[in-house]
Amino acid sequence: MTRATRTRRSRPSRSKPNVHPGRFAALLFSAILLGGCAGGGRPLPAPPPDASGAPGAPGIGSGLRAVDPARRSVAAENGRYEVAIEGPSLLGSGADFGSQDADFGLLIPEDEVVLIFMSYDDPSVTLDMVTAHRRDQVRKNGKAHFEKEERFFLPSGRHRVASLAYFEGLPNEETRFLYSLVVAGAGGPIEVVGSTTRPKNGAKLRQAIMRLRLLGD
Amino acid sequence: MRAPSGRRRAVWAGRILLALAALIVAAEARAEPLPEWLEFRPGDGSAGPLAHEALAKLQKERAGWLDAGYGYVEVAWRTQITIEREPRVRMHRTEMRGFVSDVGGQQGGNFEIHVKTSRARISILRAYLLRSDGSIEEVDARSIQVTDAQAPELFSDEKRVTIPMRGVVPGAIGVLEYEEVRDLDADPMPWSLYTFLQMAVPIASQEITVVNERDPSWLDWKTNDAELKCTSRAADRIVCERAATDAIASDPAINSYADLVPHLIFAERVDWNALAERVGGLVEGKLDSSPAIAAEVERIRSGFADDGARAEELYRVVSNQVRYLGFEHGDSAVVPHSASETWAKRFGDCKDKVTLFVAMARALGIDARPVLASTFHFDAERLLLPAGSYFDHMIVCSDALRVDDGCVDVTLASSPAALPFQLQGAVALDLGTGPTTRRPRLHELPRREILWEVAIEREVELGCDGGARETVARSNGGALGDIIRSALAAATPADRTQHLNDEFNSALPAIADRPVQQISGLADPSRPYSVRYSTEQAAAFQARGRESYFDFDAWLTFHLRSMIIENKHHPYDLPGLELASTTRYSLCERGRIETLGPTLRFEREWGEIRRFYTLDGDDLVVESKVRIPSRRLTPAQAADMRLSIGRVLEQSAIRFDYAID
Repeated sequence: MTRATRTRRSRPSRSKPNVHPGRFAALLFSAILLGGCAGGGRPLPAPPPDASGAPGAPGIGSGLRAVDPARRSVAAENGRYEVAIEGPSLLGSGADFGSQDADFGLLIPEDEVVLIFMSYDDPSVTLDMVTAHRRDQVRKNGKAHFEKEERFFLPSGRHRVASLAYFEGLPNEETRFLYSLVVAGAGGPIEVVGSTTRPKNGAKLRQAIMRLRLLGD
Repeated sequence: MRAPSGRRRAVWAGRILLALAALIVAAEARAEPLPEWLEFRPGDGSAGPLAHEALAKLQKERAGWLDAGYGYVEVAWRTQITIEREPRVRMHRTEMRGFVSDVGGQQGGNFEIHVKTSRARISILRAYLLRSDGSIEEVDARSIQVTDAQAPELFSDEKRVTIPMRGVVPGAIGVLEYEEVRDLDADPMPWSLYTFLQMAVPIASQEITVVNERDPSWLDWKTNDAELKCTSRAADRIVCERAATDAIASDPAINSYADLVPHLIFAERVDWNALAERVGGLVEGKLDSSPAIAAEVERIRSGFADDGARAEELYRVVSNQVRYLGFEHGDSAVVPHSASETWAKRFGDCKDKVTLFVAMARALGIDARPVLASTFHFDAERLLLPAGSYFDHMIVCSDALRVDDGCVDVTLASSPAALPFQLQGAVALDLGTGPTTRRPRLHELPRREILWEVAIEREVELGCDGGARETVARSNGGALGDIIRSALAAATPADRTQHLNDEFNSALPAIADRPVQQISGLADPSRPYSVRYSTEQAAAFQARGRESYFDFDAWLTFHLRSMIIENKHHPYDLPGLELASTTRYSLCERGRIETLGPTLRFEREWGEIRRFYTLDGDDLVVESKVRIPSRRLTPAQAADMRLSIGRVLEQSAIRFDYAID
């Protein structure tokens, strides 16, 4: 089983990515959580074209390779940002998520950990809109429930307001624990979603997510 | 009654004009003769060389000053102080004011001299306007007005002389030259002269000369203006000069310009101990008693168990039962009336009331010491040498009192036994003689970390019809709340209502139907006063299905906004705020809370803002806490804090999800 974890800069896609459910359960779960714009509140910006369902798209594990440890930042339309990664990291092609930009991965042995970046390139999108959207998606997915949300100044950003929401898995075979960190940015919010199957890895995941830093802060 | 015809109207109009003209003439003719301490020397219609220099300067610089937005500028100040042997101080002063625009005439067309008439005489040597064409308009002696310089509650012989320039037009120079002779014989206070060297308008040139005819060791002087060049051209002569001095930059939040503006001080040489002993001796000399004082002391002794309770009761009596009214004629400006006289009159100024407090405290066996305070200096380092001119108030301190190092201001009624907001952190000089006298004598009074304590209780009922009923009770405490309470207690009911309405409009500008607000607790200084009101709003929210509820936390926002400082030039001593707000939401019987809102944990070096949501049965309780301690903020820190608070305010709405079947 692939233990790869990935990061991604993208917007939430409307449709479920076409990835193998057995082999890439973690990615599938995350994609479900992230997908769709329905729900209460203002619709989020339209996602970019989703190439993940294109015929002949490579399997997610096929393109993984080790990440240069020195590389930590991602360029996005609304700025550049980086996240600290603990443990071995892997780099995916990004094509599976409809993006050719390289992404980061976080690897925790014996766990399926997923780390995904998204940027909402619209300054009118608020933290409230993104967090409401995320809660709604998780609720509709029915495999985890919203546990709590905190708002604070991002430790790495002087006046950068961040929201960290925690979702806890329901007791079934696909139980996962999920963090959503949404950070207000000048060009629109940036969201990092991380999930793990093991609660004991939650702290590591939270720590990695909380190290998100918008370059220039 | 028949309407007046056109001819009659013309006749009446003519009569009215004549009457008005007669009134104006009568008013000038009725002008009272000048008082014996004020002499006016008529001008000879000529202007001196300095005035012509000033006029040339104005003509050269006027366009620039106009562009900078000044209505007038001080073109030249010349002061000569002669310390005579008699003992007497003679001050010869010339002020030349350039009028830049019409507004400048309105702002600075009247010159003023303040004089303590019990010891000083004024001679106005020249007062005229020099126009750009060289013509001169002399001041009319009959237009000089003498008024009281103090507040209505202070009866004194300190006067303000107002000299209105005639025919002021832009481009003209107003000139006032006068001499003040001050008698120092048997003056209870050491002499000092304190001169600010910067103003709200530019001063194009200043020159101050001091001629000391007494022993050189008699005089001390010092300045904190690095640009002021002072030289001793002879053993008995000091000349200080400064060319252009920019106007002091203004800022929205200023504790005191006196701490910002450079100054020059001349004073009779004395050290802080000697000054304290001399002023303290004035109080000590008036600590008498009377049967009436003894009776009140006995009432307090028998009615209260310990020194702390007795000292607090004594504070209540002296601050509330002796009203503030000063008789400050002659040396009474600095020498208090006796304790027995003040108690008998039931009125007195700060030093009278302090003397009464000290006398009664000592009769109770409680230590109490008078303390000089400055209401305009909050930084002891700004006091350059020992001088009484730095102080304008007297308070009392006792170790028996519990807060603020036991220091209280007995001039404030309806206030707790504590330092008022205005004196928190003020510079003080301990005048005590006992073992508890503070060393060093010159110090800054304590400044509390939290000066504004606010509590807000909201009950919000969300009905199944979509209506919202809200009851709000908010209380204001701490030193800032106390000073507002003291002012509200003294205000008329109409003024109180106006104050509450202003606050409400500021916090909730969108609500057109302002509710009736009830105020309580004004008479009890031991607890915060509170304001209560209720509102009802139909169709306030969606009362069906699963929805999100957003609530603008108006009072939290109101108080947080008050912490935003827009200063660009000067530091500001921010008064600390502690706010606790609890909002309880009760949903109707078919409703339930689905999701709690986000916990807020915003922390920075300037303070913290927290919010927690909890369920209490079917109710949702939202608790918000703000703690921003008192601190000195530089403009850069203020900008940083402004940005942070702005971001927090964006997140301050209360939010939760609910469902109604």
